[in-house]
Amino acid sequence: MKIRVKEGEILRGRGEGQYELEANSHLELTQITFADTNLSQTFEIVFLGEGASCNLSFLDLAKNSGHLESIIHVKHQVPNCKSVLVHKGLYNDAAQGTFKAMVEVAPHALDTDASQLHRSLLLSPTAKVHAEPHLQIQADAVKCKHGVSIGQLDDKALFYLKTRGLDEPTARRFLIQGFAKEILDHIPDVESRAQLEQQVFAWI
Amino acid sequence: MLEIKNLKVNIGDKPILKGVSLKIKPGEVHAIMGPNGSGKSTLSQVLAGHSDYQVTHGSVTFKGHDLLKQAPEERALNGLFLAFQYPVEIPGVNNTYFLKAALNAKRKTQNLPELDALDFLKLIKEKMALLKMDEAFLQRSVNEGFSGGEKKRNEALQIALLEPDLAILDETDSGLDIDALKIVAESINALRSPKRSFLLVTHYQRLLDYIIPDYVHVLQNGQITQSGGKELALELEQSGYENPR
Ligand SMILES: Nc1ncnc2c1ncn2[C@@H]1O[C@H](COP(=O)(O)OP(=O)(O)OP(=O)(O)O)[C@@H](O)[C@H]1O
Ligand SMILES: [Mg+2]
Repeated sequence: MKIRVKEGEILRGRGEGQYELEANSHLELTQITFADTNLSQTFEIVFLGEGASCNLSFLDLAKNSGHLESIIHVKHQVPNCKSVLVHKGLYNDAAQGTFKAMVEVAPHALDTDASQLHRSLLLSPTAKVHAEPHLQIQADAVKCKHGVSIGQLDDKALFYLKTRGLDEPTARRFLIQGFAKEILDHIPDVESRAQLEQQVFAWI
Repeated sequence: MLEIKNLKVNIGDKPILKGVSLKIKPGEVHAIMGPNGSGKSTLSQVLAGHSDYQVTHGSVTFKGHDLLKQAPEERALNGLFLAFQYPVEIPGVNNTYFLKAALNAKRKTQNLPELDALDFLKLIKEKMALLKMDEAFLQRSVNEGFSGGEKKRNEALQIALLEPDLAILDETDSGLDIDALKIVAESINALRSPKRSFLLVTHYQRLLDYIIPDYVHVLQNGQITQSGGKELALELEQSGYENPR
């Protein structure tokens, strides 16, 4: 599916597809995906006009023996555009996550500002994640950064919460909630945000 | 209230506490001083139930129960509180939400009805006023980005809110400015009662000017080497730990 964000427009989007951004447009893509079987999803963002920007926020949740793969391709083909990609994953049981991101900055896409960040939490000893952030920069004068962090629930934080009388499941839920919040906060509508929050916790 | 008998604790293979005994009666305030690395925080963390430490010997009884058998949350619900030397930052977890959950968990074990959002807000604002804390801290994530002193004040707020039977303050005074120290000390003094006890871990006599202890102990190299009244802290201030009486 191709989705065109017209010049100067702002689009709040979700779902797979190829998003094309005209000059001075903005895309706010917030994607929350649940998987307990195998699922692969692909997103492509193409900057067609200068001065456009996008915020791409992903939360992947996989459990059982599900394998959830997210492929995200950002193409900076013109100067002066900005992309912010934050991908978070929560993997439980024997689930697997794959995160493949490719941010391409074409030779003439000067003054590009691109960042990508992946963070995931493995909620069980048998969960796995595979993160592949790629940056392909062919232009000068660009600002690009990327980061990956993979870990478990923070033991120190768990202990702190327990010393305040919260039991293990509640303490874990708090930390998972805290982890997901950064992405859920991108959903502007209070009601749908609360609903998704519920879904996230019910799911874990 | 609390009775520690010949407690020995290892981290890995390394002995940290080498036979600590301490008895705290209801209403008493005890202070523990001692050089860096002597095991003060280890003792505090073991009492709170941290699992990285192995108790190799000894026993701890808290309010008649075998403390070492209880999970950290049981200890808390039973009335033990540890104010951390290094309070933990918890990104994304709202401070109000956290404080309310902690209070309601406690109320539940006391067979009291849970407080709803409005009643809780009223209560927490009273406690914050007591500690002269800006209400903006309610909107922040737990300890995240708090300054050193702000974190300590947030610990003191939890003591005021949860009203534990035994509060262990692991260097809550370190990092507090002069005014904040007085405010926190006053909040503690306001809670002093014949039924409530405190264990203050501190490096500074200054705290003990405000919260006057009944007993002062010196922990050195994993053992209590001196115990005395409040005047011991003053003597230590003069002589240091190297020159025992
Ligand atoms: N996780 C750990 N692994 C190895 N050694 C540790 C660990 N935690 C503490 N220790 C050691 O145990 C000893 C006691 O540490 P502890 O934190 O209890 O000291 P303290 O008396 O609280 O010191 P301070 O006054 O500096 O806070 C120190 O030598 C410390 O290095
Ligand atoms: Mg210490």
